[in-house]
Amino acid sequence: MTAIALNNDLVNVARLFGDVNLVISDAVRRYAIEQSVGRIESARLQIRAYEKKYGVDYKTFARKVKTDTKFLHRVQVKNPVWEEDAIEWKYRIEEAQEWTATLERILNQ
Amino acid sequence: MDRDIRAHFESVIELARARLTNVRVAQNDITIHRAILEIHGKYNNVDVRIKEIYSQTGDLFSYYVLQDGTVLVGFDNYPDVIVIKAKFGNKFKQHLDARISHRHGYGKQSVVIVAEQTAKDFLANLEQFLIRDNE
Repeated sequence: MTAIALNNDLVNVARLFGDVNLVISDAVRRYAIEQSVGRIESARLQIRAYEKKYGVDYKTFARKVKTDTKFLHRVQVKNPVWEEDAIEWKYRIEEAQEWTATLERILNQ
Repeated sequence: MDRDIRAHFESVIELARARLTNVRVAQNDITIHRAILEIHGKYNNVDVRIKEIYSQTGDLFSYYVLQDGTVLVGFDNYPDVIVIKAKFGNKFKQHLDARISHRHGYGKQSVVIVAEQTAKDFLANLEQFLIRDNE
């Protein structure tokens, strides 16, 4: 349990809906779920955009830019600064995984 | 994150606004485990692009200068097989995910290993990079 400071008026309004601890816990839980889902959806949207742009998933992309010179040439032609896409692509995959784990943890509580 | 990423990002943005024109902060997002900053701007007649990523699996960056879509100079540490071969020789296959700071020259026709770069170094030395790479 953690004690936090809340605006008295908000606490009084929360009391109108029942046990104040339960009402506020439920509100925070809903907020955390909503924020986690938003983060996951945003990350997945960006991952799909990169997959569409380069025609492969990240794992294939990361392998082929190091092993397939024709693929690398096509990537360079499509975007001379493809590295800035690559670093964010990896980042968004990790972000989606992280927020999915957070969401699962909240939902299992 | 245990480092003060927010203050770092603010200082990079401030420096970008001092050194560049038409500055656009495309992304500036910080959560407890990860952070991303992306800035676009102009330096004289060239395009400057900065992206920094901090996460628990390691930090990544790309700092590029382009003119009409052609790379004039660029720095990043995304795994690059030429750089990895240069550093590890015959054992390069064991290090394909190695993040080694490197510099791309004009048109990405050359690449060399460099010391760790920061956005502040990049912004502070823009003029020098352009002169050297256009010679």
